[in-house]
Amino acid sequence: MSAELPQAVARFIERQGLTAPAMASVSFDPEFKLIGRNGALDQLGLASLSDAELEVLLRDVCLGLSKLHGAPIAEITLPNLTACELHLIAENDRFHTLILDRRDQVEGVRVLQQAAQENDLKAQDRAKQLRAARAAIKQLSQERDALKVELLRASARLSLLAFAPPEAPLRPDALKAKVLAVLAPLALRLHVRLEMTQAGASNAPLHELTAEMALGVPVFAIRQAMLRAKAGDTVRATIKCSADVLQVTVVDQAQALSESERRCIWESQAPEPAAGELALTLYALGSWCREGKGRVTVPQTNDSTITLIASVPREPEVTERIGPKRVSLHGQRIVILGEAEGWAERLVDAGAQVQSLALSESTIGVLVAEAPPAVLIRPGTAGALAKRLVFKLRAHGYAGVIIAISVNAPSGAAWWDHWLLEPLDLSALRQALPAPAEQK
Amino acid sequence: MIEKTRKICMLGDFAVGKTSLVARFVTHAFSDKYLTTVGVKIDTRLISIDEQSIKLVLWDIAGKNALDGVKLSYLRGAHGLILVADGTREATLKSALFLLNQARTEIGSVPAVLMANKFDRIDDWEITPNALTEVRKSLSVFESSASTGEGVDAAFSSLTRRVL
Repeated sequence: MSAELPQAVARFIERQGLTAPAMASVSFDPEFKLIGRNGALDQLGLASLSDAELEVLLRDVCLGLSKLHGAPIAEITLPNLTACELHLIAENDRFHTLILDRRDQVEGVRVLQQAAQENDLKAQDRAKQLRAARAAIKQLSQERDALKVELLRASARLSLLAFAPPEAPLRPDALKAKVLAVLAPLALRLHVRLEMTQAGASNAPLHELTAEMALGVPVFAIRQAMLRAKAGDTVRATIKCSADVLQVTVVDQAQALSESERRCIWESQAPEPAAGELALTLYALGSWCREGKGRVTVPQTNDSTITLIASVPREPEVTERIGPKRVSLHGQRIVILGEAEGWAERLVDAGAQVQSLALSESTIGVLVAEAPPAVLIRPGTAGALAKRLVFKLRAHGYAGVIIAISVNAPSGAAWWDHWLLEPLDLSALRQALPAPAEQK
Repeated sequence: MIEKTRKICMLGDFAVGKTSLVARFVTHAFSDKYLTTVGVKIDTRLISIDEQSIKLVLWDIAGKNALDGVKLSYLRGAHGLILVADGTREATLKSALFLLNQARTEIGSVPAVLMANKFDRIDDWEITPNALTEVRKSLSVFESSASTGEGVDAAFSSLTRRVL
């Protein structure tokens, strides 16, 4: 090995104005056989390599590169961790690889780049945490509103507790008297005047309504309007019994509903977090009415006065008492992943067609190919494995329903459709499963 | 046995784990300390597929969401591409797909696979299964973890079969 670089290489360096703390060249014949090694290979950490090893190293690095291509390969770190710049220099039927030491330069860039990227990662982390915090706030707001709804319903029920439930069958005029009796103390305390009228000629007994619904719905609706009224206001309400419904109309002084809130009430969806009190009241009232197959309707209005109509149908289903029933999973095809611990027997007893598979990666192909309509997974102690498995199932296109069952609520991101609490409640499971008719 | 040599380029945004995946594949090692790559780092590994011995020359190209002229020059002669995205950073999937387009414009339609990395941190994942289902329609996808080694050999082997 010579310390002197070949003349062609030296001329190239001069022509290009190249400088470096250390330079070396390795020369090859047209078949890429090493024919010479020159310069400061020791400073580049390459001196200890045999000719054969150096030949292989540079042949690998130059794989696919044109020997005639003049552009250097900048900032290249070789397998021995030497950072350099590589030039290919053609000379007649041979060519040279010129290796320039760029360790200092690369280290300088590395320090700056590392700092910039670490800052970038921190900023991304902060943005992610902020998104997570916002999502948590939204979730908490929804939970808070759900609790408010429960509170509204509970407080309306409490109002009823002060009175013995009316004896069925009620007549509309008796109902009106009962509602007035329940609400009179509140009206007195709030200094609000309550005007109730009974519309419709019929005074037929309300045979099919439960006492709680018949009394509770008007009390709930009117009470909330009274609570929002100012001292001295008059709250006007009408009770009407038509052919098949009990209809309560209340003029509420609360701020008018926005279009989106109005749509929520119509579509029986929970209003957005931070919705107005009126929206929450209507939602709570609506959910209570729906228990009796009734509904709340909010007619269009242009001012700040809302007229809401809560109706409870006089249909036999209102009073239908649903006793404890045996849950049927007849027609359901379910795959259980992981430990079943007696579930399989319960599901089979309930009429389901059950297949048990191990909680392992090898089941992914089977499930994607067979595409069962529903998969039950019990993450248990293998929570991370279960999550990864569910992710892969989804990422491979499995489109059925995935239900996780565990004793604790799972944390972090998860890609199952439903999470059910252990011990397994078959009626909750039935609700989570697709209808047998939807199963192929 | 005839030894074939194939050049594979690793592409992806910064800090997605390209260098760690190469380290896992080549030396079976992993360090969770982030050390940025400047330019390109070259490693090799000999593997056997169907009784054929193949040397993979791995070009671990510094992470960016787009390739400039210098980085594009690293792609010259590549037989295959490994795109890497970080599952915990959704934007890196878009970067990987953008880089694939850029690379294919430069060097043509060479085989490629996508490694959705950091699968061991599934709780923090932002990339959704549906996003990967979509990508799978045009690209082989491997959920991987340089930390545990999951999916690493499978991804490299899959690409190697296609570049033989």
